Formats: sequence, structure tokens, C-alpha cells
Amino acid sequence: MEISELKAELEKLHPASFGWALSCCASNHSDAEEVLQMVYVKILQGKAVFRGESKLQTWLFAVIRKTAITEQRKQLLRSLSSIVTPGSSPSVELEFDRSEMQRRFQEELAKLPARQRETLHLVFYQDLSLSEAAEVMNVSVGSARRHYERGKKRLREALDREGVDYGVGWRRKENSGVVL
Amino acid sequence: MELGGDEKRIQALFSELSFADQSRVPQFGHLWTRAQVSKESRGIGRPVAVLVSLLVTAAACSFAVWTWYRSAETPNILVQLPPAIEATYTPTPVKVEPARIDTRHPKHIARRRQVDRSIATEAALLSSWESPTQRFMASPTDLALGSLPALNQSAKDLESFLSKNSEIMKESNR
Repeated sequence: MEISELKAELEKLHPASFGWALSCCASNHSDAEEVLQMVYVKILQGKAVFRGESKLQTWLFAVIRKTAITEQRKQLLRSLSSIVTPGSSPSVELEFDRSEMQRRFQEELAKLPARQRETLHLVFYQDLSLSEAAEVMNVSVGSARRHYERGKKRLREALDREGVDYGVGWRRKENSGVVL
Repeated sequence: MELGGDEKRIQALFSELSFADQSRVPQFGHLWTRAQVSKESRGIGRPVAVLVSLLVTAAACSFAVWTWYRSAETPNILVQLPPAIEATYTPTPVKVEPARIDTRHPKHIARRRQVDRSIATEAALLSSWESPTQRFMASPTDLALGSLPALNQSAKDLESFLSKNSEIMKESNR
């Protein structure tokens, strides 16, 4: 794929990429921006090459995830105390005028294990199938499904505990949907 | 993908989150340009870093070699020093101030002479040195063994040699 063609595709995916980068960087805006820029640098340098073996989106998301993990490791080495968690940072809270419900949802989402959070984000936020999410996360479909189910269950339980009413029958309804 | 009740609600929350995130997405063009600039600067930075590291390594190596060479050279300088001192210090110091002659110069010469003497004694000891093994191996029969006749020597010479040799052997046996 030519670089101009790739650039056009990347531009289309840019908002979704940024959303995914935010999720990978614990909702830290500047970190997400930095990661996304690094991904573009990798693409320009030819370190990350799209070979057409999968969808461009899943390939790009996998690169973003890998870059974010590498950056987090670097940050951890620099300073163990500098990791920013969503909800704990007052700047994040002040920056965006979010509803109480949304804030609690994000807090509970941040408490989930990384794999579960990532699966939920890819399925619900990015509207990917479980097999695509598995590809992005470099895990098997079965594993991705397990993360999805457990994540969903834990999120529901946590939100119930918080006493947040999200609508009629939130607590009573059981999941019966098939995602794949 | 068919979603259940819980999933629809989670989807709604994620949609809200997505909507909030959309407002703070940085411009693609801005990030892309920065990435291009970063790529170029990194492209230049790497060869420069390699060059600098090479230069530093070369400097360190040359310094190490120079230090080693200097340390290896030092003993020669010490050994060769006495003749040079003889040559330079034998004539009386003419252009030195009187104050200096009284204080520094005699001390200097005395020190040099001391060095001379020590070197001379060391050299004498070295020249007369004999290995202990060589000393233990020495015996009175060395002369007899060392003076064997050649094969083409005349019979008379051989006789005289044998008689002389037998005497020496008797002496050594005693």
C-alpha cells in the first residue's frame, strides 16, 4: 500500500485510533496523543508495515496497543509513581464535563483487568467482533470470549454495587446475546 | 451482532464515552506532521549518535594505548638516565644563580650520584650471577669430560692423554 493511500486510510481511522489509544493509556490524553504519534512515526519509518494479512483497523489497533504497552513499561522504569490512573487524576475529572454515571462507569471500567477492559472497549466502543478483538490483543478467540464475558459480568456487578441505575431492568436482565 | 439487555446498556455507556472522546481528538494532520518531523530528526540523530560513540571509543582506545606505551617506556628512561646525567652535570654549573648552587644543585647531584652507584652495584651483581643449578652440576670430572681427544689424534697423544687422565681420575676417587 502506498504511503499516500495509507495516510488517507489512517486519517479515516484517526478518531477510533485515538479512542483506542486513550483506552490503552488509561484515559491519559497526552499519553494517548504521544502513543498515536509514535505509531505514525513507526509507520513512516517502515518499522510497522501493513501486509494486508488482516483488516487495516485490527493491524493498526494491534500496533497502538503494543506501542502503548512499551511506553507504559518505559514510564514505569522512569518512575513507578508517575502512572496515572483514570478517576484518580483530578485533571481528568476537571477536563471533561461528564455525568456522574459516566464517571462511575469509567472508574469501574478502569478497575477491570487490562484484558477484560480491552475486550469490552474493542467490542462496545470500536464495534469489532470478538475474533477481531482477539486478533488485536494477540490472543485466541476463546480467550477473548472469556475476557469479554468476565469483564461484562464484573462491570455489571460493580455498577450494581455502586447503586447506579442505568435504566429499567438493569439488574434483572441476564445477558443472552451472542457476539461473534 | 445481536446485543442483550446488559450489553445494550454497556454499549450506551461506551457510546457516551466515545462521544466525549471525539471532542478531544487531536487533528490528524497535526500529529502526522509531527510524526514526519520526528522521523526526520530521529533519522539524523542516529548516525550522529553512532559517530559520537565511535569517536569517544577511539579516543578512549588511543588514550589507553598511549598510557600503556608510556608505562612500558619508563624503565628504559631510568636505565639510560645515568650517562645523560654524566654528560649534562659533569661540567660545572655556570649560568645558575649562586643561591641555587647552595641549596638545590648539590642535592640534585648527590641524588643522581646515589642513583649511579646503585645502578652500578646492581649491574655488577647481575654480571656475576650464577644459577644455583649450574653450581650444583659442577664437578671435578668436568675437565676430563670437557677435554676428550678428537678421533684423528695420534696414538702418542692418546697415550699421554690417557695416563694424565687416569691420574686425574685417581685423584678424584680419593
